[in-house]
Amino acid sequence: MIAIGAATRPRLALPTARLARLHAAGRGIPRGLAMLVLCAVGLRIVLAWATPGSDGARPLPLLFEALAASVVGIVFRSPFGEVERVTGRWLPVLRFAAVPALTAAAFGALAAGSAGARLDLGYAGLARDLIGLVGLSLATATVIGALLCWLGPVAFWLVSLYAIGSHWTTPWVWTAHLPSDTGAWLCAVAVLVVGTILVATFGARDGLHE
Amino acid sequence: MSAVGPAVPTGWRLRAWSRSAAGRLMRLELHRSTMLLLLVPVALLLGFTELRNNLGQAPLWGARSIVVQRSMELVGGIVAGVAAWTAARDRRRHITELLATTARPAWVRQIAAWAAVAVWSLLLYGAYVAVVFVVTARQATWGSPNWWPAAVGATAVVACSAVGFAFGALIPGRFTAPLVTIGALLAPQIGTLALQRNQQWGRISPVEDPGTSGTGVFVPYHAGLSIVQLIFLVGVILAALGALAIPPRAGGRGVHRAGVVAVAVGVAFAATGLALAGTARQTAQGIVIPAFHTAADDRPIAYTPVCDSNATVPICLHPAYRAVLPSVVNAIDPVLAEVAGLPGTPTRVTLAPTTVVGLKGGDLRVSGNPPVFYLSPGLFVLQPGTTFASALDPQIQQLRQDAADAVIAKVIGQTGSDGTMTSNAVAVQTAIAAGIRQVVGLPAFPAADATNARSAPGQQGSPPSPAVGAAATRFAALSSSARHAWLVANVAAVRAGQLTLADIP
Repeated sequence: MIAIGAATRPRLALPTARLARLHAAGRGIPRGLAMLVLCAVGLRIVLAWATPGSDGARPLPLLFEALAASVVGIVFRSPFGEVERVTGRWLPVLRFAAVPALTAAAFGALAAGSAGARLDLGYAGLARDLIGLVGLSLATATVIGALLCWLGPVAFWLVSLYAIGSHWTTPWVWTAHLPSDTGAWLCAVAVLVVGTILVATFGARDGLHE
Repeated sequence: MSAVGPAVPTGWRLRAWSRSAAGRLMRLELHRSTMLLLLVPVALLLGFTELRNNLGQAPLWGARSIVVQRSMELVGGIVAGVAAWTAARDRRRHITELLATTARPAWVRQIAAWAAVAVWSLLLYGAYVAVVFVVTARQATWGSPNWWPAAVGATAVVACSAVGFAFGALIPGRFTAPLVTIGALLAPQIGTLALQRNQQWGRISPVEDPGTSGTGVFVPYHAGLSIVQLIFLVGVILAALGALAIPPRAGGRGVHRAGVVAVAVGVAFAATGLALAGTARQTAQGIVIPAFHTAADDRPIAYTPVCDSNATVPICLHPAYRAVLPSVVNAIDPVLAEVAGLPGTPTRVTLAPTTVVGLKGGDLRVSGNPPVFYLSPGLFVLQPGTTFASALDPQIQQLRQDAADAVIAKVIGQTGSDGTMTSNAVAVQTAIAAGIRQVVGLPAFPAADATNARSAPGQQGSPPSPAVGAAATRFAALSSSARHAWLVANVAAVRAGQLTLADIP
């Protein structure tokens, strides 16, 4: 009888650049980045219409921020399903790393799109609103499904319209506050943290009659 | 021997089977529609935002009916995205080829899937309209619902679902649904932006309405623009659904041909709507489309006034404003009680006939024989998004002062306006007017400038002279009956300028 020693598990190495690249390709991140560029172009166009002080100055750019946040959430959809979930030990790390990278890309694209025009709340407002919306998009992607994660940011955008018009004071609708409002910042960051933890841990769900 | 039943025509059987199969397909689609799962969240969102906003307005049928139309923006945006998501369902599930083997053309299946989204969306929008109208029916004191804006809103929701579905089917992709949603939320704004550049075709946007100040209360709702919007939206629906039938995979030659015809008819309808919207004219009664407008449509709305007969004289308002009648009575009645029975005292307070000028201005006047106190309808015109309290309370506060000035001037004479009067006679009229103002809680001597004229009731302005101020205070200090009796006995002398300040008790 041959005694077989305990199989030694291969030591986990940090994900290589190749793994990260494959993960990005599997998630369709390049196409997502192209969509972010499209968002930037859309933002540039509406900023030409919605001049500061006009009725659309706040809601229209915010709509494109919601779209960019939705794009970030959608690229977390896995085309591989259970096979990847079972075998991909580095998935949480990859997903965790993808969130700040994609959020930064979205901010960069929108900031570039608004260059030369005037955002109603400036880049600080853009960063805060986008951070919160991305968190909401990721949370929705985890709970409902990645392909329907746009429902979260769009619903929040609609609530924001009323919050801005009715001067709501709750910091949880951070879009209705000035960028100098610390409470609104904290809420937006908290939503991003929750969304990131959810999507990194569980991944985006394939939900609602996928 | 076998019993043979009555022969059933083959055509009838086929039709019955078709109806039954179509019904089953529709039931299946209704059951598995994503919109069904989203009904409750979207209804909550609608209730949290649009419904709260709409019901926060004054309970006037005119205002609330119109806002119902604008609410389509929220429902339409989400419905468009869900329709796009639904259209890509077969592709997402990799069952396109499997379904290609079924007896029905792909177009029929797509229409069934779209119809399910449209039905649930209409149900949601209909429930929203029903809530608004039921609540308004319980609160409003006059009028009835205007169904035109609701019809435009419902058709716009269906159009959003059709366009969203067409995009989802023709350009499937992960990002199609959010792109379509954003597009559907932005599309109505294009009309608004066009209007800012004086392009009348922008009125085709379903968030635009033909109403103006006083629509549905004093002036009629002109349905021309609603008809034009409906023509346009029906065209959009036809074109979108027709486009689904054009790709070869949608079905056979017949389906393709039907699609081309539907697109052509839809484009023609939409173009007609746009062209008609381009002829829109802004009038004092709102937006009119000449092709759907006649001079008879401009007649103001007839109404039976609602009156408070317990006041010194009957005070009457438009029945839609029954809720504010007590406030108006409180504002006007004290001064009427002071001068009751004197020559020139109004025998009735009522709204002036509705005119374009009357709707814009807030004037009031005492005229006629017997004298009637006319309030301008413009005093009661509400801006969109305002309540009775927020819009009318300041107006009624101002009315208290303006009504006192108008009535006092009519009864005791226009102080200082008659060049033939001596300064002493003017002083007497001024003192008596100041005394009455004090009694009814107004500044005795309102300042000449507009800012001070709106000073708080009871606040004293500067008297023209100490003697006039003292006489006014003396007169105000009299008992109500003594003051009234003195006025009855001496009003003719006051008007004629025959008294001095010393004659005022």
